[in-house]
Amino acid sequence: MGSFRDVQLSDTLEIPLLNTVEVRNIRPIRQVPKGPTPFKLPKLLDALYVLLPLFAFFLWAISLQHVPVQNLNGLGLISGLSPRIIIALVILTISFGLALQQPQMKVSILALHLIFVIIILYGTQNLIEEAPRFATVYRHAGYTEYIMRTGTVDPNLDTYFSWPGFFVLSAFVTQVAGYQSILSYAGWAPVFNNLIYFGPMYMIFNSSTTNKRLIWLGLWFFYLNNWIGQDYFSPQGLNFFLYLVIIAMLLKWFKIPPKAQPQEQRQRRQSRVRFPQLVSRFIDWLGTPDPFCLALQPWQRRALLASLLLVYGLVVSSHPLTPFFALLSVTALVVLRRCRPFWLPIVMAIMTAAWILIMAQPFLVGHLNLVIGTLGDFGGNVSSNVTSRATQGNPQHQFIALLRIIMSAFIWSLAFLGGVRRLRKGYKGTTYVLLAVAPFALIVAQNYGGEMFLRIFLFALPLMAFFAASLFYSKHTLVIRKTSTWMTAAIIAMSLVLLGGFFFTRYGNEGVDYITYAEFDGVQYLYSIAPPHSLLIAAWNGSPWQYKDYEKYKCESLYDRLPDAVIHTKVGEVVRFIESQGHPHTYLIFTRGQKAYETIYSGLPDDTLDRFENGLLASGDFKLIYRNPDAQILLFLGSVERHGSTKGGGS
Amino acid sequence: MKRWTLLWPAVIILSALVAGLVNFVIPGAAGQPIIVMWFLFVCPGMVLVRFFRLSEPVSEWTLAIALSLAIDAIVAGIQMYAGLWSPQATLAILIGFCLVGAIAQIAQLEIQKIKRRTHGSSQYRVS
Repeated sequence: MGSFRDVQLSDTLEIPLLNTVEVRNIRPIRQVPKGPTPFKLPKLLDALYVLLPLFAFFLWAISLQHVPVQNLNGLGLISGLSPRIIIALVILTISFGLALQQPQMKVSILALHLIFVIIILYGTQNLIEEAPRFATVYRHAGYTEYIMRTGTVDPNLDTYFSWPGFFVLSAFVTQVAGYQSILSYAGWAPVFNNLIYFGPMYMIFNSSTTNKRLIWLGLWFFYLNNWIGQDYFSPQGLNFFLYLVIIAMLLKWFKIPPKAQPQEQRQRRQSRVRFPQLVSRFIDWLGTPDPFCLALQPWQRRALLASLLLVYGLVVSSHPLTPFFALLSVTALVVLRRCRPFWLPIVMAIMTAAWILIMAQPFLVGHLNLVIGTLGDFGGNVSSNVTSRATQGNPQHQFIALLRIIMSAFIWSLAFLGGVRRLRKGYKGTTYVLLAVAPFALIVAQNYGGEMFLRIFLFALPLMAFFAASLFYSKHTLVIRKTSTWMTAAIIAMSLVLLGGFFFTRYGNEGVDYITYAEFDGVQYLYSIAPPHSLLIAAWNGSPWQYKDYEKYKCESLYDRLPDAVIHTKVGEVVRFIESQGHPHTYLIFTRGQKAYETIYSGLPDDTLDRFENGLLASGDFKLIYRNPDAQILLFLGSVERHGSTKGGGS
Repeated sequence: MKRWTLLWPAVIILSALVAGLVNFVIPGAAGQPIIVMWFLFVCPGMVLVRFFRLSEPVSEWTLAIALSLAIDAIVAGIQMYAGLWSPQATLAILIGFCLVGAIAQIAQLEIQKIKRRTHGSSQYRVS
């Protein structure tokens, strides 16, 4: 079943439920006429569908140097993106739609399109920007550098040291690969992650249908919708892959076979009498068996289960949130008799609890309120995840936030319609609907710093993309004798709409997220002059710092501590705060990223940080010791007076 | 068929040896990151997956990458928590693991070949 090769006409059969009622609904299969093959793909067309993506890739490659990233506004990368890059993606999209609708679909050609779209959509930022993008990556570099330098972790230092699996792996790989820091290769993480997401998603989709067109369109929709941006160099980026692998393994090899179904159905019929018709139909739907149950030898099953638990071991040790998504989905599948063994969620829950109670105890002790404080606060969690995000920032950023909500609702609506269409055609797809909706349960549990909704969107996205693709392919026909021009046009149009949305939703934060060499130079200079145990203060969020010597400096952001003092230039409050910290040396850093953050995300006037910086210098308590176009460093003179002379000079 | 079944054990052995070479003999050699990452992200998992006889390339690759990452992280993590952090030692352990696995796979294939010859049966054929 489902070998990965070029698809012949007979491979487009999508087998519906193994249920007599459903089977009766299948229309008779039309015979493929013999004789000359009227729909054999001419070699010219084959060549065209190879040349078109190659041309698009070439066009994209030669357009990369024409992106003025320094002048991005609140709309993000789209405000500076070369039209030729957009044209290249449009060509790729049209070419994919046409190739997908060919009577004799070539998997190799579709794979070529998919690889190119992943490289273009997720690699462009790394190629056109200067230093590795996104300030958080630098903090992750700091965690990794700490492990590389000390060979240990300190859970009291940072939350992530209670879940260090990903950073231990990073430290190990970085060292044996001969790098000094993850910053040498971290920029390619989005491309790498999205490439490896392909495998488990293909397995998941392939466990539901043999219709290769549906599978490839589902994959295509996923990549045009993955705007969340959690695929950067981060534990969650890797853990999403591991989550998909766990689900793929369950769906591929551990489904409960339909042969047990008649007895269960009879039992359900007996108990159903009490329920209204709608409830009975829902219970029936929940009990519908899945097609495609692969027979495995017992030893193979045991080996695969051991592998699944090994993979889950990495999930549990590397991220606080992903284990709960995995646990929720696996529990839903097992409790509702979609997969086995019954003890799997129990073992997974024990593994999760053991890690939290033993290894992450230092985090729990200090942050229990953070963990359970928003438990059950559905309204508050939704508000902090949706409403507040859409009302923050300058008007352009608010537009981006609104567009993200609209595009999320759009793909979910498409998925709903696709699911309904499948249902009407006789494909109940219970397992896959469960997986699409299970992540939403976590909105009740936590707001996760206002990011829970983003994570839910991500974990639901593969199945949402699959159901959205089902809107276009849901027929029970064995072959496509003549492709519909309207269908081809609809697929291309829908892909272009999603692509258009992606330009804004994915790249909308780029004005803040890109890092210039100059601002990273400034940060490096700060670390070269600041003695250990200094207090380093960022005037606002968005600095590429903490990339090394994580435990040697105390780092604070006035965005978190004294936002009002920054907005209204209250120098006295800042001085009192610094003196209360009691550090021998204190440095303030201003960067381009901070100024973009305060303008775009915080919606403040764009001269707020400049006024604050001037106010600090005018007070006489601070001295400018470093300046370049994108970074300024101020030394707090009170520390010099208390502790004598200090290092640092101008540049 | 025989040629293909021996392909992966050969690739794994070669990858392990080259990864060891660029780390222990000629560190800093050109291509070290690519060679090492290929080895770490594919080989430890693939050496296990080949025993599972899944016969599906997408499933094999997916599982191989996931298992490789898990094995790498777990071996390195155990060493770290045991106070024995040493990336070179971790790499040596993984190289040893892959070599043993690949050789065991070759031995298994040879045993099956002998059994097939003896019994004239194709039931033990490995894809």
